[in-house]
Amino acid sequence: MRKKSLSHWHALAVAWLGCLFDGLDASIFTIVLYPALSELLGTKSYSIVGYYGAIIIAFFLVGWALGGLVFGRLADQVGRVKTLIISILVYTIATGLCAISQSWQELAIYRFLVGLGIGGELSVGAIMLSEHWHGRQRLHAVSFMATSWGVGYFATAAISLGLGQASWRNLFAAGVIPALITLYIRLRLSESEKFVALQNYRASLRAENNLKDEQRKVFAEPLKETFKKEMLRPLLVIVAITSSGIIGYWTVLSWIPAWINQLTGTAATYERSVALMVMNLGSIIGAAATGFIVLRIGRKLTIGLAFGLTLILCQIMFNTIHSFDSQLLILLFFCGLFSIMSAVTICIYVPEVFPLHMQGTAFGLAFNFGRIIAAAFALISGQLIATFNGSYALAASALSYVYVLGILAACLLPTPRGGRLNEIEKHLKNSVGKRPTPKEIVSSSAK
Amino acid sequence: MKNINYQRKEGMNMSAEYNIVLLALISIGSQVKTLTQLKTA
Repeated sequence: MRKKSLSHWHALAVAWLGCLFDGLDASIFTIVLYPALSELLGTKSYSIVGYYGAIIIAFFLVGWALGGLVFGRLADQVGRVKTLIISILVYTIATGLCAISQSWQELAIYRFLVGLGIGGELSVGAIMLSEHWHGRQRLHAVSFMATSWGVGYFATAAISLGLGQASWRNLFAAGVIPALITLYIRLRLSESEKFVALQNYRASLRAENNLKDEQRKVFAEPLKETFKKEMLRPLLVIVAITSSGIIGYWTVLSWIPAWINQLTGTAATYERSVALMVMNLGSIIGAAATGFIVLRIGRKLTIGLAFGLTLILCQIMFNTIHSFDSQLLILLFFCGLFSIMSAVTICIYVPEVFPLHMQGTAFGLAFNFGRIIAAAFALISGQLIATFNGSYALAASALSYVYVLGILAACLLPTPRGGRLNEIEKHLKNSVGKRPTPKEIVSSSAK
Repeated sequence: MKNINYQRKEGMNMSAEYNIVLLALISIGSQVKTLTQLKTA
């Protein structure tokens, strides 16, 4: 058993807290979408709110995608810790600014900035965690980190319930709290042994004149490296999987609070909060279980089953539920439980296929490129709601078929490359321990 | 658009809140279980 130092636990705490506040700041808008836009637009029309809500979600998702790319690349160059601090400050300040929005355009710009910071934090947090934890523990550490996303959403719903109806500005104002964890990061968190070894290796090579081609890669542009032939297939498959999950989330599940407004015909603060709390308790349990499930049935099957079951649940929910009752809550619980599993599995998988010196960029690209496509789909969902005469349920039911793409992509997921070490990793292996062989990875999945 | 006259069912608050507390306990349990794996794996 590998001995764990305190830095492992600090990395876990920071990743968990960062992801918690990501969930909190990301979810605030889905909860206050209807009341906030009703006030800013001066209308109670579901179609008009739906249309502008979709545009703001699209802004947020484009920001998220760009944040993942920009901060992911920055993390490979300047380090994980500095990048983490910057990204958290960006999304907390922008969330605070949402509280003073006077128009939907202003809100859209602030949500874009929130997305930028969240995209960066999630990518960097997951990579940092994978560098500090190894083997089976890495799977459970990533699963544990992902539970905090649901905790963040749960907290937003609980805060919304506590603050009552006229609270959307207060809710955004509460989103600045995460800025405090940057202090903890500054004081407690250090770069992983692996990343320090990589930086030292870079420094030692800078002094040399005759570098081998393999050694030059350490200075290569990580974005360019990610698009090389050997990386392209896993990258495209991961993008298809993450796109499916993200599109599904932002065009289907994120409309649930607004759908509940429609089902009840009232402001439904209590009902929306209860529904989201139940769904996110499901996602906490789902995330915690993912590490165990991946170890038992493998990555492909976990992703395929998660998408398949979410699709079935969405079809039942949006086509058979016509009032707010306990049946809806049960379906929402299982929707939350299964819908998060594919994202957690991808967080586990990405560090297994991309080398250390480009992991931040690769993660940012693979996990966030889908958000640009999702942004386009968010706009379509706004149009679709209008086409279906303002019915959120019919639009969400149609859009939930996007999970089929995820199931198909999961079938094409390449086996982790395991012990195929390049020149850079051979050096790092001697400094900080070896990478698992393909046999080890497969046998750990089979157990 | 259908105008639905919604009234919260009697006893729903209690039942929903009871179930949320129960699920919250299960979710905390699942997180603790994952953490235990980190200590022992």
